[in-house]
Formats: sequence, structure tokens, C-alpha cells
Amino acid sequence: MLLADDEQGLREALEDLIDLTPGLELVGSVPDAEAAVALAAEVQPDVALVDVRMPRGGGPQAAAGIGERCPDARVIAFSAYDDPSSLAAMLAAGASGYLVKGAPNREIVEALRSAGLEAQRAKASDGF
Amino acid sequence: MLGRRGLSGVPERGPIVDGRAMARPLGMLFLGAGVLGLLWIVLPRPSGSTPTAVGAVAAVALIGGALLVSGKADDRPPRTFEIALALSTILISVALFFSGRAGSGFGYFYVWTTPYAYWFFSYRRALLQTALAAAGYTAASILVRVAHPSFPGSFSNDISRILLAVGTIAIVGELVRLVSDRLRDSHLRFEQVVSEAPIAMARLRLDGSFIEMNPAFCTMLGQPASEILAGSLADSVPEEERELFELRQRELLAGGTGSYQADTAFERPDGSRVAGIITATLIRDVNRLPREIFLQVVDVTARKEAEEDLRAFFALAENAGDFIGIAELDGRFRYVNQAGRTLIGAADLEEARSLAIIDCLSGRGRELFVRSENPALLERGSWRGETQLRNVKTGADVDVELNSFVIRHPATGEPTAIGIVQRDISERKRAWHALERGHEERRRLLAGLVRAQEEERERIAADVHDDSIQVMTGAAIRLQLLADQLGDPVQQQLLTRLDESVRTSIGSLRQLLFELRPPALDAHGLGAALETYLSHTLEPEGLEYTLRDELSEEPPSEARTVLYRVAQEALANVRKHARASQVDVVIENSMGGWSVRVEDDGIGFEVEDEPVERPGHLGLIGMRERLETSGGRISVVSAPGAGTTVELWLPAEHQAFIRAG
Repeated sequence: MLLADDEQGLREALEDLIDLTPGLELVGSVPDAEAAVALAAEVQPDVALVDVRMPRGGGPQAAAGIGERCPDARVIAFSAYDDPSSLAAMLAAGASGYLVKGAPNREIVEALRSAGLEAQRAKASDGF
Repeated sequence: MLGRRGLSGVPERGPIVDGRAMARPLGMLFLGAGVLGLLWIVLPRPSGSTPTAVGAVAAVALIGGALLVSGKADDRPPRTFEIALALSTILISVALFFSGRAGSGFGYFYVWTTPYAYWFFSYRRALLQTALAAAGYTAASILVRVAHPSFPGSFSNDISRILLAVGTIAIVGELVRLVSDRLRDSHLRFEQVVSEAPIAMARLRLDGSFIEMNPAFCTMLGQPASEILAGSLADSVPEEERELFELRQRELLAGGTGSYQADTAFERPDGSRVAGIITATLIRDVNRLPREIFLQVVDVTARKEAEEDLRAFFALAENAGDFIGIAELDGRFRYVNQAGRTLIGAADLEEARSLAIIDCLSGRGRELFVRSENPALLERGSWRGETQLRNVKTGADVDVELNSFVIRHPATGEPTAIGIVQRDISERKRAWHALERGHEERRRLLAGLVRAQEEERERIAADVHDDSIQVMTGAAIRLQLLADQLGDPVQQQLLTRLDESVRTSIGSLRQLLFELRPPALDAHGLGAALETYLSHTLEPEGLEYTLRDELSEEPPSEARTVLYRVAQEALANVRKHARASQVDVVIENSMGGWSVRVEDDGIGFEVEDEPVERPGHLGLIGMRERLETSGGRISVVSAPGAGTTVELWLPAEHQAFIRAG
């Protein structure tokens, strides 16, 4: 898992959530879009959980960048906004899921897991 | 033949001068002659004379004299009187012949006929009388010659005397006729002039009583002649002028002046007054003794009133607060009132007259004069507009409202002058500018306020997003992690409830975030933002909606914000008051700007009854104000039961102003 959120407190809470959840492994945690793309290119995560509004490009740019460099990775948007336009922007940039801030941990974990499985399946299919 | 019509059919001319006046002295003369005749009979006389003949003459003279003096002669039928006189002449002549005084008989004939001719001053009657007398004398001569062949003289001698007498009478009569015609003509002319003259004329006795007056005099005094004749002129002079009038009359009678002329007034019985110029002339008789007063009065009431009106108009113009002036056609001032002189800086009328219109105009005023005013005066005869004067003393420019027009001759219609009425509007202009500045200031303030409000909203939204929501989201995640770690179900439950509260708060904050500044407005435009609003706020309440976004070009950020906020308010009104089931929103480019139309099928309302403001809401006035600040406008069409259509419009060109503000 790769985390990208400019709010450190939230990022750490998410890190804890991933650390404490069996089957999820954190490969990196960054505060902005550019760093997220750079790190993703390096570590090739299965899933990237990206904030929609964050410095240096925001969620859409991060999603597009990660999608370009890690075609098999799944990008999940994580946002305080749940309006259709924000959602549409992220989906257009290549995000495969959208989580609203305030969602229960269970929903987050499920979304990450299923995205992870999808990514692994995609990687496996690439391997063939 | 002796009727009222003359021989030639020409109307007979009556006695000229006063017949009655002449009859009396003549009658006295006759009476005197009659008395002398009687005395001649009574007193001792030369032998040979016949008292009978003289008695007859005396009797005729006494009868004729009495008739004349008593005034009866004029009233008798002229024929009878003339025939009586002619017969008496014949009788006297015959009697004289018989008494042996043939020579004197002709004298009597002469004495009888000539005054008669004089008396009547009638050529025709004089000739007739002469002819009758001649015939009578001839008859008497024939009778004498036949009865007394020895009578001294001869018939031919008598005839020659008769012819001589007739000739003399004819010559004298002709002379009399010439003089009397002249007299009659001049008298008639005078009479006609007097009676038809528009000037009031009257003859007064020395005591001030009237002798006669012309119709104009009666008209002037507003009384019939009979009433005027009954009084004196002084009665018609108003009390306050009577003393002066009587003094003048006395001076006139004292002979110091032959005549005087003065302004005076007369009072009519109805109380109205006549202003007149009176000319009184003292008429003297042949002996230079005062005989009567001849009065002429020119009625100048109308002129006086006109003068009074003119004075009033002058005072009106002079005291008016506006510039009132008259200029010659070449532009030089003929008259400028006091206010006008102050405006252009002329000390007095003389100085104003030394100036022309163009001298008292500012640069802009001159330009207007040449470009608009002068052509309009030439073409239409008048011009109205705003222009600018220049005070020639101080050089200061004064804004005025001008109304100029061509003054034409009332009869010919020829232009004679230019009338100018101007009002100083500099004060009004200043006030207007101040008001305009106030409005602009208010608009700027409002625009600044709106901008500040938006900025504040953005700042709060950013804070909520970047801080509160993030922190609380992190806290919620940790709370759940903690709850998962707890073994005690009670503690777990408590923590879960705490977590739920935190998440509910996050939800509220998210809604707040959205309301503060919908991200779609900046990211995706007005249509997207409104779509979000509709789906977020109207859809959950069961309101159906359609949104048609036909914008070919997205408004700039500021305009977008204004349109969004006002549309949001309109939609909030639908949600809260319209009780509608369907809302249709159309966004489009229109008339050089953008418009948003919000149409609902709700209960509608009387547009006039729309409450002014509701706490916490923009209201219709607030919405209008917000749009007008940006040069836009709002229209509301509604009626009870017929739904409501609100249309907002914002022009494109005003956006610069908002940004500048």
C-alpha cells in the first residue's frame, strides 16, 4: 500500500490502520502528489490511497501519474468531498475507487483489500 | 313743391345755425317794428299818410314777431307761413301804393323779403319768397296804374324797380348762400368729426355743467347723455383728484392759460375707472370773453393697464431667480434680468448690453451653441438643453439648463429677437455627482464585501478541509483501531459510540465545506456546481429537477460566484417556500452576458407581497442588490397558484468592475 495525504496526523492513523490489518503492507507514505508518483514508480505498490486535495497536483494528478508508471496499481481516492464533480475528476484520472473521509475503517480496509487483489490479479495476468 | 324735398330732388338742407337762436332776436325786431307802427298811428304824423296801411304793417309785424319769439314759427307748416307772409307783403305793397307811398312800398318789400331769406338761409325758399314778393308788387303796380292812371311814375318804372330789387336780392342771396354753404360744410364736417371721433369731447358751460358731448364721451363715462347732462364733470372725477381738477378749471377760467392738458381719472357709475388725458380749452366769444370750455379726453385706460402689465412683467423678470434675457438676432443682449446679470458677471444692464450670448459661454457652451443651439434656433425656432455659461468677471463656468426661442413679430411673424431663459443647475449637478459618487462607493463597498465574504468562505473551507476534517478523520480511524484492540465489550461499545459521533461530525463538516465553497464551481463551472447543489439539497427532499447547461463560455470566477450564490438563494426559496414538485434550471449565454432561469411549479405568490428580507437570507432585494452591484438584474414572474420563474442576468462587460473593486 502507498499512502499520499498532506495531513500528517491522518497519514499516521492510516499507517497504523494498515500496519494493524493483516494482509495489508505499507510500502510508503508521502505528503504530496509528486512524491506519490515518484515513490510509486520506485516501489510499484498494488494500491495507492491518495487524498483528492493535496499539494503539488492533488489527487487527480497523482492518480494519473501512478497509473502511468504503475499500470497495474489501483488508485483509491480519499477525500473530504463527496460531490459528483470531485468523484468524476478522480475517476477520469484513473482512480478505481473513492472513499469519503469519515468512512468506517472496515470500508477502508475492504476497499484496500479488494483493490489489492485486483492489482495482484492484474500483475499475475501481466506475468502470463 | 315746397315739401321737405328740394326741387331737384336733393334733400332739403335745414337751417344751419340754430334757427331758434335766430328766431328770437328777429322776432324781437319785428315786435319792435310793430310797436313803432302803432306809435306812428297814435302820435301826430305828417299829413297824407294812411293810418290803415301802417296799422296793417304793425299788425303783421306784431303777429310775426310774437310767433318768432314764442318759437311757434318753426313748428308751423312752412307753406302756410310763407304764403301768409307773401300775401302780407302784397297787401302792404298795395296799401302803400294807395297811400301814395309807392317808393316806400319797395323798401318794405325789400325789408320783408331779405330777412326772410336770411332767416331761413335757404336759397330755394329765399328765391320763392322773392318771386312771390315780386309777383305781388307787380300785381299791385298794375292795379294802381289801372285804377289811378294819374299816379306818379310809370308801370315800366315800377317793373324796373322790381327787377332791380329781384336782382339785388338774388345777388345778396347768392352771397349768403356761398357763405352759409361754407359755414354749413365746415360745421357739418366738425359735427361729423366730433360725433364719430373715438376721442371723448364735450362742451361745458363755465359753471362746469354740460352743454353737449359726443358718443365717445358717453361711452367713456358709461352713462347716457341725458344723465351726463344732468350733472357736472366734477361729479365724475374721483374724490382724491377732484381738488386738483377744480384748481385747474379755476386757473383756466381765470384766463392764465388758454388750455391745459393733464392726466386724470374718471369714475363710472359701476365703480370702474377710466384713465384719461384731458385737454381743456377755453372758448372765448368775439369780445374775447370766456364763453364755454371745450374738453377732449383720450381714454388711456388700456394703455395704462398695458403699461401696468408691462411694469409687472418687468418686475417679475427682474426678480426671477432664473436667467431671463432677450437678445438681438445678432446675439447682443438687449435685456438681462438681475439673476442673469449675476450669473454672467455684468454689474448692470448697460454692461450686460455690451455683451453677446457667445461672450458668456464656456468653451463647451460655445461648442454646443454652434453645434446644436444655433442650428435648432434657425430650423425649429427653439432649443432646450444643458449648456455651460461663463462668468465674464470671474471666469467661472456655470452649468445651466437653457431654453432659448425666437421671438417673432405678432403681426408679420418676422423674427425680432431671441428669448433666453436659463436655470443655474450647478448645485443640482454637484448634488447629482455626489449622489453618483455615493452610489459608486456603495457599489464598491458591496462588491468588496461580497469578495471578502467569498474569500472568508474559501479560507474557512480550506481550514475545515485541511485541518478539522483531516484531524478528525485520523482520530476516527485510531478510535476504531483502539476499539478493535479492546477486550471489554462495554468499553468497546463506548468507544464505538464515540467514533460514530466523530464520524457524524465529519459528515457535518463535509456538508459545511460544500456549502462554503462548492469545489465544482472553480473546478468545473457553474453548471456542475449547480448540479451538485441540486443533487445534494433538492433531490433528498423529493424535488424533481432538470438542469440544462447551455453555456458556450464559462463566466469568470467572480461572475460565476455571484450567479451561483443568487441561484442558490433562488433554489433555497423554492425548497423552503414554493412547495414545488419540479424545478427546471436553465443556464445560458444571453444578451452579452449570462443568465440563470429557475422555474418551479409551486404555489407562487404576488410579486408585490414578497417579504423584504428574511433573517439569514438574501431575499429578493438582497438578490437584486447583489446582481446590480455587478451591473446585472433579476426578474421575478409569479402569481398565486401559477409557480414562479426567477431569471438572473449578469453582463459580461461589468466583470472588470468587480475585479477592480
